[in-house]
Amino acid sequence: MSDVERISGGDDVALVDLVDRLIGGGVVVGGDIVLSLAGVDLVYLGLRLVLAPAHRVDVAALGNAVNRP
Amino acid sequence: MILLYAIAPSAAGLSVLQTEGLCLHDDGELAAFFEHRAGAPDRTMKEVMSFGRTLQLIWRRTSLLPIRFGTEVHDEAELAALLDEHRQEWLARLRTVCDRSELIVHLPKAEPVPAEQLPAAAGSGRDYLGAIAERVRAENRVIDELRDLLAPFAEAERALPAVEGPRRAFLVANDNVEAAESAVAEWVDRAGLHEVRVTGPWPPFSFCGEVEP
Repeated sequence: MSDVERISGGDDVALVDLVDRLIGGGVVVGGDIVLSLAGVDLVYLGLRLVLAPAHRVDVAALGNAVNRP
Repeated sequence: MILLYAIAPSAAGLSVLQTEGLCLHDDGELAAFFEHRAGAPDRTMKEVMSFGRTLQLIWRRTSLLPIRFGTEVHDEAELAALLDEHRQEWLARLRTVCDRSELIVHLPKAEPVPAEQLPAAAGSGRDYLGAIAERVRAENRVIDELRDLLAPFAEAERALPAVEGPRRAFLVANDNVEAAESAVAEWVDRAGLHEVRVTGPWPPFSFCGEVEP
């Protein structure tokens, strides 16, 4: 079973790793990341995968961990 | 607009992947997988997962450098220029990750020292810092054990941003993935570290030459 299939089956740890690496790993040429889920803007934090509604995130406190390229 | 998925070494047979909108730009040395889009991809979990599935599909066929989700260029001319600009760097990276996968290991966060085990003067700033230092040392000991365990299989290692506890990515030859997973499973049983989790094998997301924060 591939990890993507395991994720579909509810493997949260693999989901965290996949999403984290898709938006935080790989070759960087440019771009930024703000995800949304069910219409709510979410912010990706670099130190751990925390998806929080954007309006609840203290951007100043997060510094460049938010929307890192 | 073009959404980039991956860079791969040019090879015969890659064109079979050109299905359902996935396109290939092959200049004889480097091949780039991309998709024409009317606009930037939505920043949604659905789009990210769809991107991940396509990337896995390509990766089953060829070694590759995954491109970070959301990376766009205007057209194929700009893509060709990008390949020219990064040619030597990407060819070198591809040699490093060819026929290799990434395994990610989640390690347990060390438990804080129970209050009753702290010295009599517990509560002072010094003791507090000492307890934190001991916790960091405990985590480092587990990381060192894991590193030694995977030394026969792993060719490179990266520290990833912690989730609950420390997280490490290892670059492992495809032929060694099962052996590496088994070694970790035996270690987990032996040491009683049941919170340890391994995910993958993944494309080499963490070994594309970027320095992780």
